[in-house]
Amino acid sequence: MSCRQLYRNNTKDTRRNSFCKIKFASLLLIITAIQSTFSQKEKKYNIGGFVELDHISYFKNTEEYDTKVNSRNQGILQLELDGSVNDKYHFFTGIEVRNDISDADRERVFIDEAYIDIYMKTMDVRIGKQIINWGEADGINPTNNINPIDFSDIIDTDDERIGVYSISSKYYIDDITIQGVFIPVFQSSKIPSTNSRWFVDFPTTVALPTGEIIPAQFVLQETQEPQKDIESAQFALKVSTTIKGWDFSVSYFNGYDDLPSFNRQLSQDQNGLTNVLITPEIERLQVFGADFSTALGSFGLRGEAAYFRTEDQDGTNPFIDDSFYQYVIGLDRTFTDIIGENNLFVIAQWVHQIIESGEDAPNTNLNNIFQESFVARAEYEINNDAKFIVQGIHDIKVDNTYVQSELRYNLSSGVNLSVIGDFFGGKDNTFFGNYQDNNRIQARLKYSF
Amino acid sequence: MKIFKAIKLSAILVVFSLNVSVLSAQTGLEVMTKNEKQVFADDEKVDITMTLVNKKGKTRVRTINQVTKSDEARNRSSIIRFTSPSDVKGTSFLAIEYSDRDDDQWLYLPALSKTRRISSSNQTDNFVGSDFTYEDLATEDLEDFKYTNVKQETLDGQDCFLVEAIPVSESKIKETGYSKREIYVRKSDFVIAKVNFYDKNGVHFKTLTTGDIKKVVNNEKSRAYEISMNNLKTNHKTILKFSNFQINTGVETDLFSKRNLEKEYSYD
Repeated sequence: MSCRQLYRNNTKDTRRNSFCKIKFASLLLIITAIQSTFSQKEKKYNIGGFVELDHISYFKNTEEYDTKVNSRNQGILQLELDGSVNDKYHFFTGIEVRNDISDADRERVFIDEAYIDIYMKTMDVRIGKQIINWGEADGINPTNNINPIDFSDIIDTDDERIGVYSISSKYYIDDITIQGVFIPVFQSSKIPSTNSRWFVDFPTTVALPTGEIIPAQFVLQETQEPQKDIESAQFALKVSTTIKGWDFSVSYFNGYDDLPSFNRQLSQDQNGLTNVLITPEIERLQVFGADFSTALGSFGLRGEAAYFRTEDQDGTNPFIDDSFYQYVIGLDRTFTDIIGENNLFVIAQWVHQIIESGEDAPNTNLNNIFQESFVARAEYEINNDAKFIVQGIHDIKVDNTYVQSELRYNLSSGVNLSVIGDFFGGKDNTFFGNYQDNNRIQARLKYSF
Repeated sequence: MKIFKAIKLSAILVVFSLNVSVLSAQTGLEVMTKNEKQVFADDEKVDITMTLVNKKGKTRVRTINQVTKSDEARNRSSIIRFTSPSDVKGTSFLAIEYSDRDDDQWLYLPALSKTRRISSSNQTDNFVGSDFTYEDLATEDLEDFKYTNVKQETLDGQDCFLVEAIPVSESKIKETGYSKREIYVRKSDFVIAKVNFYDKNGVHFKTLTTGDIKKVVNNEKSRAYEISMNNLKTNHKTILKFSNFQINTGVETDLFSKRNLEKEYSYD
C-alpha cells in the first residue's frame, strides 16, 4: 500500500463555496459592527477569532510539478462566538472561511465547532460538532482517535482535526472522571487531492506475484465509506484520575480508521494493458489505550500507549493494516537564563510501533510513519517578543527525517508574524523521503481579536 | 504560549499582598508577622492588568483573572485565567500546593482543547516574562530569614519600618536569587511600601514600589492596587494594577479542579 495510493482520493468533500469569494476587508467591517452591537448589551456573549494570511513557496519547481499546486496564498477568517445563557448552559461556535487563490481545493466555509454545554452537579454534557483531544504525549497521541483529520497539507502547522457531531459526557466521582463519547454518524478525513504536492503519483509499473514487473495503469475507484446513518455510529470511553501527582487514564475507541485501506485488483483491457484498480475502503477499528503524566522536579514526564485492533486480526489480508501497538514516552523541561535571562523549553520523545503479525509495515502509510522515531522540539525565547522554534523527527528504522524551524515575532498584542522552514530527508519510498522535493518556506501573519 | 508553561500558581496571589516577613531583632520579626497577618486571607479574587515595559518604552499588556484559597495549613490553591490579549485569551492555570510533596500544576490551552500537567519552576525563574520571579510572588517562611529592624523612614509621607531580610536557612540560601532585601513596611497598616533587592554579589538590581494602597471594599484588609517592579540591570519594568478585590467570600474548594479549569466562566 503506497503513499501514492493513500493520497488518491475523491475530492467530493472539498467544501468549496462561493462565500469564499467574500473579501476579507468587508468581513472585518461586518465583524466590527457585530462586535459593537454585542458590546452595547450586557457582556453575555463574546466574539473573537483571528485573521491569518499565509504564503508558501516550494524550493524546487521542475517540470514534473507543472500539474501540481506549487504555492499557497491563502487568507483565513475564523469567527468565534460563545456565551452563557446561565450557570448551566454555555455555547460555542467557530466558523472558518478559507480562501486560497493558488489552490481552489483548499477553499471552504466550514464550521470548526458548534456545541452546547450543559453543566450539572456531577456531570457535564457537550452536544454538537466538537473536537475531542485525548492523550498526554506531545503531538503524537496514539489514544487520540475520535476526530478525523484534514491532511490536505500534511505538515500544516495548525492543528487540523475536524470536529465531529457527537455527544460527549463527563461524569465526576471524587478524583475520577468517566467520559463517554457517542458519534452517531461517520465523518471522513480529508486526503490530498491529486494536484497536491502531497499526493504522490501512482507508479507506471506493477509487480506481479511471480516477481515480474510489467507496465500498468492505476485506476482509482470511489472510496467505499460507511453509510451516513446510525449504522456507522462510533463510541469511545475514557476513565481518568489523579493520584499523588500522577495523572492516569485508560481509554477505548470503537469506530473507524480515519484513513482508508486500499484494495487492489489487477485486470487486463482489450489492448493487453494491465490495469490496477484501487478501491479505498474505510475499515472498522478498535483502540485500547492508556496514558500518564507527572512532574519529576523540573522535568515533565509523560507517556501514552495504544493497541490498534484492525479488521485484519490474523494478518492475512494484504490490503488491511495489521493490528499494531504504539507507545510514546517523553520528557520536557524549561531551562532558564540560557543566554542572558532567556529561557529554553525542550521536549524529547521516543515513539515505537510494533506490528502484531511481526511483519514490516510500509512507512508510507500514514498509520506507520513513526516506527522507531526520535521526536524533539525546542523553543528559545530570544526576547519578550521573539521566539525561535525548531522541531524534528528522525525514524531510525526506515531512516527518514523531517525538520521544521520557525521564527515567531510578536508585532503587537495579538499580532504575530512567523517565518517557517520545512525540510525533508530520507530514502526513496519512505514517508519523508518521498517529499524531499517539498522543502519549503512559509510566511504567516496572524491577528487575533 | 509556552511561556505560560512555567507559571507557578502558588505565587501569583501573594503578589497582591506582598507577604514579606520576619525579623531578626524582635521588632523586625514583629513587623513582618503583622505584615503576614494583614496579608493572609482564606480566599481572594482579583483582576490584574500586567504591563511589561522594555528599555525602549515598548509595552505589552496582559489581563488576568485570579482566584486563590488557603487551607488550614496555609497551602494555597489557585486558578488563573488570561483574559487578554486575544491570542492567549482563555489560557488557564491551576495549581494546588501540598506541604508534603510537589505541587500539582496544570495548564489549559483552549486552542488545543487540552489540559497539560506542567512541572514546577525554579524560584528564580521569571513569571510569564515579567520582572517578578516566583520567589517574589510566593509567601515565605519567616524561619528562613533573619529580619533586622534597621531604622524608620518616611516614604511618600508615610512612616515606615525599614526591615532588612537575609536568608539564613540552608535551603533558602540555595534557592533564593537574593543576598539581601530591604523592606519598607508602613506603620499605619503594615502593608509593604517598597523593597530593594540585592543579587548574590550584593548589588542592588531590582526595586519594587507599591501605590494606591487602600482598604478593600467590605473588608478590613488593605491592599496595594498598584505594584511596580523595576529591573535596574535590564531597564525593564513590570506594572501590576489590581481591581475588583473580593476577600473571604467563601470560595468553594471544588473550584480548584481540572473540571473547572476547562470552563470559560468558572471564576466569576
